[in-house]
Amino acid sequence: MLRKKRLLYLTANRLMAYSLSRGKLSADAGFERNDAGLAAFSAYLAGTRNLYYLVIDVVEEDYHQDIIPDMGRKDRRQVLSRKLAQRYRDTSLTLSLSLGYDKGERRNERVLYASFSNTQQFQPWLAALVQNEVRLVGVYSTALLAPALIKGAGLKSPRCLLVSVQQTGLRQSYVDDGKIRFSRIGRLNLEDTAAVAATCAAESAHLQQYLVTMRLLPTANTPIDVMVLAPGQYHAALTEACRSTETLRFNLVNADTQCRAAGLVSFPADAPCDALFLHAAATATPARQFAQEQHRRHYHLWQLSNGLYAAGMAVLVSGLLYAGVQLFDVYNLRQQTQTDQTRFDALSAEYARVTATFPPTPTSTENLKTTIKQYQMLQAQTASPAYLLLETSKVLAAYPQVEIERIEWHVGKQGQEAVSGKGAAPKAAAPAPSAAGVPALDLGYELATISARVVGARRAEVRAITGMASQFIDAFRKVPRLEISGVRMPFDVTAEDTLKGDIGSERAIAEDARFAITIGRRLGR
Amino acid sequence: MKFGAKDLKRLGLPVAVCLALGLVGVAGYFAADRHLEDTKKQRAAIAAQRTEVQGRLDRANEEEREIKANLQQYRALAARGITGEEKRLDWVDTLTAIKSERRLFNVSYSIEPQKQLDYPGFGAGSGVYFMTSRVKINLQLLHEEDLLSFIDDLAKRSKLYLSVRSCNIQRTDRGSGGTVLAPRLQADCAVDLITIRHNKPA
Repeated sequence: MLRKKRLLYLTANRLMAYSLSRGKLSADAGFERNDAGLAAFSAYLAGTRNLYYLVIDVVEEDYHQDIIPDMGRKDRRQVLSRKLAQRYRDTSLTLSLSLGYDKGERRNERVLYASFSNTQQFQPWLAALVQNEVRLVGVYSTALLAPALIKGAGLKSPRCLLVSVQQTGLRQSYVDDGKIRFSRIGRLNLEDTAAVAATCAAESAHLQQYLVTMRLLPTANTPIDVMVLAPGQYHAALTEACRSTETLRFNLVNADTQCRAAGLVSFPADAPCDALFLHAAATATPARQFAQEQHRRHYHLWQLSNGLYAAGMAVLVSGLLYAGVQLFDVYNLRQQTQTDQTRFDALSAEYARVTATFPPTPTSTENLKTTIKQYQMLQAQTASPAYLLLETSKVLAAYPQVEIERIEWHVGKQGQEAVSGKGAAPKAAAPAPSAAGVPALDLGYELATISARVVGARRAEVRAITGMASQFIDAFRKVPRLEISGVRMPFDVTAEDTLKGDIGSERAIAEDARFAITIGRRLGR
Repeated sequence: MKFGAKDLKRLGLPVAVCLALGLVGVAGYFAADRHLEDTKKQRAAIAAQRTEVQGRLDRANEEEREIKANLQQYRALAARGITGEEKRLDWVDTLTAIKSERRLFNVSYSIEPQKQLDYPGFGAGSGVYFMTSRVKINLQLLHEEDLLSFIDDLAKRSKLYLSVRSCNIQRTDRGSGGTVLAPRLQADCAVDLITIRHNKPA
């Protein structure tokens, strides 16, 4: 929403309040510089929430050019502040304007100081603005707005003198390289058209001489463009009076036409030049202005508030935009999900139709499948002692000297059996992987621990007994699919243990010549 | 520019609005993100279900064959009495009959309370329950072949599934050569009587 802008045009005697909205500049009210006028002005400002631009057009102006050394930003600010304080008694309406840097070795900066000679006359108006918490964008002089008007008229000359015929008189503003360098206002009888035109021509020549004197122009013959801005009623007389010379090139600009060209749909008919200055203040606002921070506090607060609102809105809009994109994806996904759901329903119905023809089962098909699968697994884990006893019987038939005392058969995992000793079989192999690459379930082993002894041997026949036991055990090793997981020999003939004997008692039967072997077969094979 | 307490108070509303808008924006961001993730998961779940049912439909013929085969085996199990409740008395009768027919010496037994089977690969989770009762049997034998015949008979004639878990056979009469018929071996066996149930045991 475009907020209406308020423009205050302050002269030595009165203050005119204008509104600018949608290209329409209209005068709201005029206030005389007295107590009644100030009170009316304060009432006018009460409760306002618009942005205000104060344009001052008075005689008492001061422009001073200075040179300062190149320095840091903080130092520069302090130096400029000190310089302004030295030059002006009241610094409440002052400004410094950089005119650029010298191209010499020292790179000095050229600075223009500007202020009003009598700032006290503005203080009641400024106080009213502060008191009513007005959002004052800035305080501008008409001279400060001159570069914007020249640019708006399309003049691109580096040196240009703007001569404007205004209600307050004849304003002359010299602009060099887009920056105001000097300005003054002279009296003018606006009723006498010929006199106005003659004054414009004469004062332009006088000012050119003054600029040369002040060394604001490099030489006396340096040509400058003169933009004469005046209402249309003076145009004929100005055309006659303002003849270009070697040093002055006149450009006559009809203020009425220029107002419309600038976009002003309506404006006060008696002051088109003032209207152009006000319009420039609102639409081509200069970066530099005269007001100090205390006058612009509420404007800054407004800016900060707007910044906060904008930041919040930016986050909100970003979040909503992102959410929008995500929701669009959600929409697409839901469409796909709906398609999948429809397909799933159709397939389910088809599957139900097909399975309806399946034979009835006493339980669910899943349970049925699980039952049979687990039953088969149970069968794979079921064993009978018959196999290992039969293999033992076959081996035993070849060794009549060996007598079996005990057989402990069980189903379990290899390594849980009690017998251990030398000659143990290698470690059990890991379960073989299934066809799918997944390790097959370890169903365990059927194991038999056979405790036996060598009969008829004498105690002294250690070698013979050991040899017989070894042969008996080795016989099991030759049986396919059998694994030997534990062996206990009759005597420990290795160097790591104690070996006892009784050679003298040759008649003694070797009652303690017992040995044991654990054989096993993996289940499920 | 420095702001006083009054100025900061004026900024209260813009700050609150900024925070509120920001929160709504951030909440919208995360809510939409989460909503999208949920929708993705939902889509993936439906797609997986569709793929599964498509696969099942493709395998319907094979499944029908499988069901028929399973059903045949299941009926065989049911006919044998392996499914349903454990019939201990029937089993005891079978044991008694075998003892008489085989003319075995003394046979003593002890049946433990029934519990769920804990063999490798069997566990809770499915709707099928394999129940087992551990039976400890003590046999007086003349020959080891009697044990094998006894186990074989028991497995074939019992209405329960029999799984022998251990058998310890020990010689009892080393070197006796009398003419009196007396047991020469003693066997201590542990067997599991297994039944299948489809309802959860109490």
